[in-house]
Amino acid sequence: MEPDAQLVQHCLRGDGSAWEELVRRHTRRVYNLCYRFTGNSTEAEDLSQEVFLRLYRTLQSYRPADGAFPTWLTSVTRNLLVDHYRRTRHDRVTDSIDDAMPLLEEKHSTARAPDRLAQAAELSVQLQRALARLSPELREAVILRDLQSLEYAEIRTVLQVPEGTVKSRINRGRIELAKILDQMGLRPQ
Amino acid sequence: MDWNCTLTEERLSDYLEGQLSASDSAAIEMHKRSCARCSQLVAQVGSLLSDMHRLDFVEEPATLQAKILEASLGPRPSKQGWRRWFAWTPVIWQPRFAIGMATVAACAVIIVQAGGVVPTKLHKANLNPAAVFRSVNRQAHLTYAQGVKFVNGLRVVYEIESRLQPQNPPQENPAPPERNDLRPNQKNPEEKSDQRPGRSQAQSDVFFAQTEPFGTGTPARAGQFSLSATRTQPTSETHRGRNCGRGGAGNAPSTPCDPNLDQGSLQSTISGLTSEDLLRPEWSAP
Repeated sequence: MEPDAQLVQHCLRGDGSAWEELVRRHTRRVYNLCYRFTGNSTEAEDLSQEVFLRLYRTLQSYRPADGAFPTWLTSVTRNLLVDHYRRTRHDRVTDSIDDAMPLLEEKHSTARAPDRLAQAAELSVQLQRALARLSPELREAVILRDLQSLEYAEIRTVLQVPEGTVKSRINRGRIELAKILDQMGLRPQ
Repeated sequence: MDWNCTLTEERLSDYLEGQLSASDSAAIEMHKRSCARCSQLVAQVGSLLSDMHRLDFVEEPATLQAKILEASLGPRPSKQGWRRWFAWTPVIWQPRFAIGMATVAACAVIIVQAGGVVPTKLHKANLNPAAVFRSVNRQAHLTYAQGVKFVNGLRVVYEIESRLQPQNPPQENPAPPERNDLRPNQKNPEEKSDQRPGRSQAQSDVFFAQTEPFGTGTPARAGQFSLSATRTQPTSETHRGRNCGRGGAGNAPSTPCDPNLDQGSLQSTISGLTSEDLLRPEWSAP
């Protein structure tokens, strides 16, 4: 499999198939970052398209010496998410009624016996609801570390903050997330 | 250093990721034992981490990649020339398509085998519904008879029959049954009976005669198979409602039915069998 850096070089020389391969490799990761941050699949789809369009126009600014291509792509995505968040902050309803109400059916989920896929789907939904209630700084830190599996050094590059700040945000984000899930009645005691 | 709840919270991620020193980890362990709140918090965050790390990526919408490519590269030109004929091929290069096609092919093979169709010798006449029905019916009878023969060959069945007919001496093998030209691969029944000490062909015939394939009213007989399910055979009530009578297709005289075979004696015979009887090698002398 050709390295991303080589594909970028081919793209810059006008190779459309190299661009297709880059899109194919990274669409899912970009979409997941947008989806987990916004909590909305339609917004995530639109934002993902914007990310790749921005990437296509600024591909010549990528320098392999600055870091791996996925990290650079994550930075572009995160910056766009921050712009989007600021633009839509006033239009957003942050705490929906659904999030405030205890979800009794999930609370008693241990009484059911869902299969593995159903359990994963349920967990994904619960987690998304809880993430929506975190502040943006803590939310992005937890998503990058625990859902995108980035290293601390990479997160430091993406967020442009010291590594100590990265660890502190991740730690606080995890504790807050656990408390939110507990308040929602979704975590076993 | 006295470890407290504030410190526990501050170092929680390092503790859970195994990045604390041994002494600090031990301090947290000791604090957990005396603090229910911190013990619960550590458990909750630890559980949350393992859950999050188990999650897979959410699947993106199916059209997202195409939209991205169209927005960046412009409308994609349709393939020209001979490549146009292969534009649909990416559809088949998917695992689910291959699995589906393999399942369909396996079902087709099973159906063809069950229908007794030989693809290399298939003619238009073979597609006649009546011919298809006869073929399927014949194949079904063949399969059933093979199954009956297999069951009849089991040791436990042999033991049951032996106990039901203890007074009947082993009979000489009768004349071999008429050759059934529709079963060229069938072994000579005499060979089969030779392999079974203490058991006669007549007894095998008796057993076969008592079985009713598919409830057609036409008893199956060793080496004889009914070719037509519509032909009915005259039956006579002999014992307990069992139908015994002529063999198939009127090719041979019917064999007598065993008047001693009834449900009551059969069940008592089965219950009387010991484990030694069942475990005895099949071909050794009783």
